Amino acid sequence: MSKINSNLNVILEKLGEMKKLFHYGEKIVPIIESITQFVDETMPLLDNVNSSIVESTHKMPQASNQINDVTSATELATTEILDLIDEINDEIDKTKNQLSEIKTAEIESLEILEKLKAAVHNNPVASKYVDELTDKLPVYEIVNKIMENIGKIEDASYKITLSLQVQDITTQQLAAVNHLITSVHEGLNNLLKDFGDYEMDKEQFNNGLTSGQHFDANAKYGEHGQKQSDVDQIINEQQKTSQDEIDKLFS
Amino acid sequence: MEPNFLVVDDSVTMRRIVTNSLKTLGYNKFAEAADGKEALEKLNADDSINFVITDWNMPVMTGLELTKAIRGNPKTENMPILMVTTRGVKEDIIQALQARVSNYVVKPFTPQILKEKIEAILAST
Repeated sequence: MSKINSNLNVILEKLGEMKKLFHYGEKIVPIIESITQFVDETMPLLDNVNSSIVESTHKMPQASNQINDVTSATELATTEILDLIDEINDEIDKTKNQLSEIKTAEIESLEILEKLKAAVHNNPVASKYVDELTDKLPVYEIVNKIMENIGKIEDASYKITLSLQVQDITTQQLAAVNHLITSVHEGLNNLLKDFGDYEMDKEQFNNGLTSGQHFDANAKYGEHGQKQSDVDQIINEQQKTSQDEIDKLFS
Repeated sequence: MEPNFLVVDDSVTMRRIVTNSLKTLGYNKFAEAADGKEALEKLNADDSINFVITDWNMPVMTGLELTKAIRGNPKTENMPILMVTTRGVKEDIIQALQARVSNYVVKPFTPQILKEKIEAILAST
């Protein structure tokens, strides 16, 4: 009899636990319903996010290729400018040679006129004409002035050449941006792989993926030579340190 | 001895700017290479090259790797090397000095700086 009582007690305990469970369930069901509703509402949003990422990821190679097109275009334009500068410099050299010939011819002409003047010194009329002709030959100074102006043009064309260093520097900056796009593209691709929606096509990048060794992400175009004094200071410090170490060894 | 330069840069523009600058400074002997590997090939093929001006960031083989390769070869270990690069941070400069570049110029450079560095290197060799 006592065994039956004991079993009934266990059953009553279990029923009590079940009652508590049902009571707890009554409380948790609305929460679960809320979660389900939240997930139902979030799914389309996640789908939208997913499709946006896929779309953006698709556009990245295009953006990267456009950057490469800009780089190619500026390199082509820079080469054309350098070709034109070379042509200008060739013409300047020719003009300088021609002006030198004019100067030499004038010196020779003046020497001949000197001889002529000496030869006709007894003839006042002829001497007068020789003097007038001599006065008409002041091209020497004009030629020198033209030479000076040509020198300024030469300097300016050389400065243009030096300014074209900007092409190399901007190319490196664009390469750094391209590298960043490629890295983000790879990261998103890995994310999308988990969704099973997208596979990156590396062929979409026209010139392949760039290595960090090909560019300086910190490249900057500033005043020419501006950074050189800082660099020289570092070099001097390093060389002094090395020399001090050598001196210590011999002391 | 008249310097015979090897100008190493992957940018055609920069190679032309450096060679134009060399011409303006009165130097007329130079060859060109687009990366470190091509530079080593030219150095092996042409014994008359006695001065290297190199960029750092290049595909295939960087200027730093080129410097190490030149210094590691008994035939070229004393070759003057001038690094001309956009990299101007201290760590880079120290790295280049440790690789034993002869001197270091930051882009954009002026002809005066290039002249000073070349003359200083030539005076010390």
